[in-house]
Amino acid sequence: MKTVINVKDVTKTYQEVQAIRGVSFEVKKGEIFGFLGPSGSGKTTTIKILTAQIRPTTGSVAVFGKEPAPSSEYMKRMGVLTDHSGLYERLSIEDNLLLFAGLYEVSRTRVEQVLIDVNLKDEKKKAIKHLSKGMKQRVLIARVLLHQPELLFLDEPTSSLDPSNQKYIHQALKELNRAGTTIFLTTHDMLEAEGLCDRIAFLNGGKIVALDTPENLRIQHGNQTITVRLMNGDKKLVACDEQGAAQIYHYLKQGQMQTIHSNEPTLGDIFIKLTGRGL
Amino acid sequence: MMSISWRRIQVIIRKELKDALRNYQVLMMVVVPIGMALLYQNMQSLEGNQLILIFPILMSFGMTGTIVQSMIIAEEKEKHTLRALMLSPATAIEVMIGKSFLSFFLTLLTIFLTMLVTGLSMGISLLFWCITLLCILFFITVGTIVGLMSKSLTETAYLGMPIMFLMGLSPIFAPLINKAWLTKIVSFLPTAHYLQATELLMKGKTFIVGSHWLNITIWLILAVIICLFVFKRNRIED
Repeated sequence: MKTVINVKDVTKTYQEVQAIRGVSFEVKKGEIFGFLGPSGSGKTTTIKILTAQIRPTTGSVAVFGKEPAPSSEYMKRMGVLTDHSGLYERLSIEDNLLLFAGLYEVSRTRVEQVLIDVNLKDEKKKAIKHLSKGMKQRVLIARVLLHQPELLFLDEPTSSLDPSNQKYIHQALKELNRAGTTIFLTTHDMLEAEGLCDRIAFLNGGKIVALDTPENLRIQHGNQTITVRLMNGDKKLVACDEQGAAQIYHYLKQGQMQTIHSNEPTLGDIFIKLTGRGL
Repeated sequence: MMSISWRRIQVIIRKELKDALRNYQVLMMVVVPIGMALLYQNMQSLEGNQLILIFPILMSFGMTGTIVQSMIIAEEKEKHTLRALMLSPATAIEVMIGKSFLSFFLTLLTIFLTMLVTGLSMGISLLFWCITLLCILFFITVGTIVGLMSKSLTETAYLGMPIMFLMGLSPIFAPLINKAWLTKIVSFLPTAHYLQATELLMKGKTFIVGSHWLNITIWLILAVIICLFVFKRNRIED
């Protein structure tokens, strides 16, 4: 599969603070790549480097095979939604989208389509200043979906949305991904990362501490046990080995077993295990 | 070589016009010089000095040229919309041209309206309009510098107001203070030269305004150099 993002040994130092300390990773075409880490771990700095807003101090970065540059051609191929993205408060939702539709040379029909995708079609004439935080977030998402970019950078895209609106956005992102868009996503929401991402990198203190598929991460960092709930209400922790198998067989044979669950760790558990801190 | 898309500039201009019509702070900057023109029109009837009618034009330079331009740029920075534009296919130069068009158009409109109110008879003088356009460009560039240096709308007031008074309105106030050193400083300013050139044009002396052109042009070049420096510094700080 073709590599869209290639980052090698990148560091970034602001005056005396080292925001990124030798980060390397690749993102393949069509992937949804999750970048997870607590505040100050270097997620936004990485996005700024990849979107040509700043240059790395050392190391090399290639996006679409070239060093990112703030050119019209590059900006047309990618979309960015960061926690600092802004909207024109006095203008309506539709006018905000029409401005960017004009800049990206996309049709008014596409504007209507993204309004449907983010569930804002009936509100399009409302001025941004009258919208809730969640609705503003949906407008921002609509704006990055407009030109169906080849590569999309999303920094905490659903942080201020309720579950029903999150569902709309996840659906829209999945559809965009199915149509070929590579997505680089940062989030604090482990369920979101698990539900959307093909691979996940955990970032801590400017370094990647783990990088794999959510499934592999769970297997690597799981404690290999099974929880059995018995008819009498007792819960038993059973090891995934020969002895554990015999124990489960015994419960089944005696008709004592009510439920059985594998104890896979959540991504949050894995992150805490690796870094000693929560997200 | 960097290419400029006029279509994208048109899109930005359209947005700026829509936004300006809903922005009371911007509209106020148009209304004040016109209000002053009404006031000066009556003063002129009392004193019989046509030059006094130029003062609302100087006010337009400062208010709709410098202050409006600085406000619209600072607001974009404060609300993080400038970053959104810079991450779109629009280039920095397209964004700046698109944004400056609004201030340019509003300043020109305000000047035209103040002249209509005061009945100033310079409308047909091509040289007057050329030197006025040069001054508008200078004041918009100064507004761009103030906007780029400010982190918020409030900061534009701290930075922009003193500059507006010094650059735009000092030829009005300096004679009232009547201090030799102040008069000397003011004599170097582009607005002082604009006033002198306009006075000469009013008297029909079209061939001796060259030094005034030169002064305003030098100020404009200086402002453009500072503007480019501030723009580059802003990018590095990011």
